[in-house]
Amino acid sequence: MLSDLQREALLAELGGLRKFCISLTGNVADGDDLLQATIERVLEKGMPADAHVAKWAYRVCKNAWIDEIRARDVRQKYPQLVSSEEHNSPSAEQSADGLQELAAVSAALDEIPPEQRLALTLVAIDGKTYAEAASILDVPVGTIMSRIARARRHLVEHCGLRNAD
Amino acid sequence: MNLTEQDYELLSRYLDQELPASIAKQLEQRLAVESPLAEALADLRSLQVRMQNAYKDIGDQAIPARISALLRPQAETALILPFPRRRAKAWSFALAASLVVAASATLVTQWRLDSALPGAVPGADTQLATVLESSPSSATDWLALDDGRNVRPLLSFRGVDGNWCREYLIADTDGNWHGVACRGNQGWANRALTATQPAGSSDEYRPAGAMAADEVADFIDRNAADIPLDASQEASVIAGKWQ
Repeated sequence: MLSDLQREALLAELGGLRKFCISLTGNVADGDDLLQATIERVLEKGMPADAHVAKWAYRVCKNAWIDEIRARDVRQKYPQLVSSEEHNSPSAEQSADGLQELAAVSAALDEIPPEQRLALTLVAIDGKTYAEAASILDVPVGTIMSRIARARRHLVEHCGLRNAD
Repeated sequence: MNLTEQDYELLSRYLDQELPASIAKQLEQRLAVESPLAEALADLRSLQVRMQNAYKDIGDQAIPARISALLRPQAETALILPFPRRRAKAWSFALAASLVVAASATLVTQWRLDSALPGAVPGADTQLATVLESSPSSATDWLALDDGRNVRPLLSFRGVDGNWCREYLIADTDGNWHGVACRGNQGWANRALTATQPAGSSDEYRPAGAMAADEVADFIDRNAADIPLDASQEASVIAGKWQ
């Protein structure tokens, strides 16, 4: 159960947390689903009284996203379990240029390991410091440095993300 | 000239303004004379701009009402039923969890705390046990072990069997671990343990980071008799040697 102060703090973090969710999932609808799952988990499990609310919420979000990756893998193995609603292609959902660009960048991010994507997203998109990202992902700062560097190198060398042309 | 991993890490840290000034200055001197290095930095800058532009409008958009409503003060939300998510099936991971049990069980056997402190058995992880025995939980701080691992106790709780248990994280060069150990008569023993980062090269695409991520949470759900201890309660229990 969250205290009122924790609820207020979490409410103040929703904008940044939503951006994080969307940058992980690659589209707004899935990002909002991830955000809702995150908030529901935080409310259900609670958090220690001395926890940093934002970092705690980002951690819960990270775990929820990893669970979704796992579930996605299962859905690919067992397509009969997937509802027709889930076959909406990004192009059908996202026709505006900005959303197409979002989909293109997201598709490239899909090509890097989840640990690298989490670190890169927190720093490059959400503007977190390495220390903040390390705290959220529960790894040493040196791990964040190497994950981000490897992610960027892969995106530049293999995913054609040097420029928007 | 091929750039090394270290070169890319330097460029990446430079881009993020995470390099100490002295090292940044050395890098700038290299950039002035090493064109491959300068070209790589330009590529990384373009990548950065493109990523930021792709997501720049997201932060300005309104939070969906169904989500912000969840966080209203309890008195207001008590009678509000949660909204169904857009894709309820997409978030069901019960089947997935059942499929990773075998994989995670293998990991448990690869790295074990066994019974440790007091009367440690041969091969027991006494360094970790010492931390669990005597260090408070933290949301932020890592404790360095002599063997190079970093440990963070996360929570302490009473199990349904009456024993005290602690959730913890370990960051090691071979990977990261998330576990729960409980203290019985023979000392601390692992009850749940999962890898949270694949060992080996992270250049390989292995969504193993997703593997068994909820096994620890499931264990706690099944075995916690009460909510976790707060800081003062935990300090008291540690001082009393978990009796």
